[in-house]
Amino acid sequence: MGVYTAELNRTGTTADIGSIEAPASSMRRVALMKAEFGIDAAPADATLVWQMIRLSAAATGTAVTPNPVNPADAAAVTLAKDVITAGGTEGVLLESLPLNQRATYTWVGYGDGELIIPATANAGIKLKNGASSSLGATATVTFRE
Amino acid sequence: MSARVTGYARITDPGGTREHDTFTCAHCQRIVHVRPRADPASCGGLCKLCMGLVCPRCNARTRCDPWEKKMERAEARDRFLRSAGLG
Repeated sequence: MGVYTAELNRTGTTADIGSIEAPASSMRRVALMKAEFGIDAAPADATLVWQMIRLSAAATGTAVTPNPVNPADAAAVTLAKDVITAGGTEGVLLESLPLNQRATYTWVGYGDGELIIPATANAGIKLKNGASSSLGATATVTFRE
Repeated sequence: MSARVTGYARITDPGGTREHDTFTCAHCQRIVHVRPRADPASCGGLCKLCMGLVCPRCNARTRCDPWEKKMERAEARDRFLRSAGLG
């Protein structure tokens, strides 16, 4: 069981920053342990809404290679994507927090608090700035599989 | 409630850094922020069947359907569809 991090960047045409998803084969449960959100544009006052949403169908985007925290671990099976062009099928809204654009938000879950993605094809969790589809946003996720 | 929190949130803005405890709903996995000195009833409740903390919405449903059981059902359905060549 390895721990991996992936940096996801919103530069696509949607408000979605990125997603982590179970692959279509070799599935296993994935636990999202940490998510950090921020805007990498010039500081300004605007209200953003950081969201984490469960996916039941995969988003379309650019693959990001998750980095193992321990270099001895094998490559992650879990898929990470950013530059999302089609958001997939959204399910339960797991987190929605409105904040000023100048703020950064970090959520950490441990024990029973981790967000678990079931080992079913294309299930996942999407990270999104629900208020803007034009600002550059970055989310760094840490997960284990 | 603080003994059962399973996460925390940190917000950093020009005014400083704020931290809240959070818990993840045992039924739907929604993240609930526990504000300091908040009324426990406003944070959700404790499911007396699975003994997990639940969000206000699941608390209002008065039905125990833990996330673990939901995942098992979804995974079983996925395995069945695959074995039938439909997945």
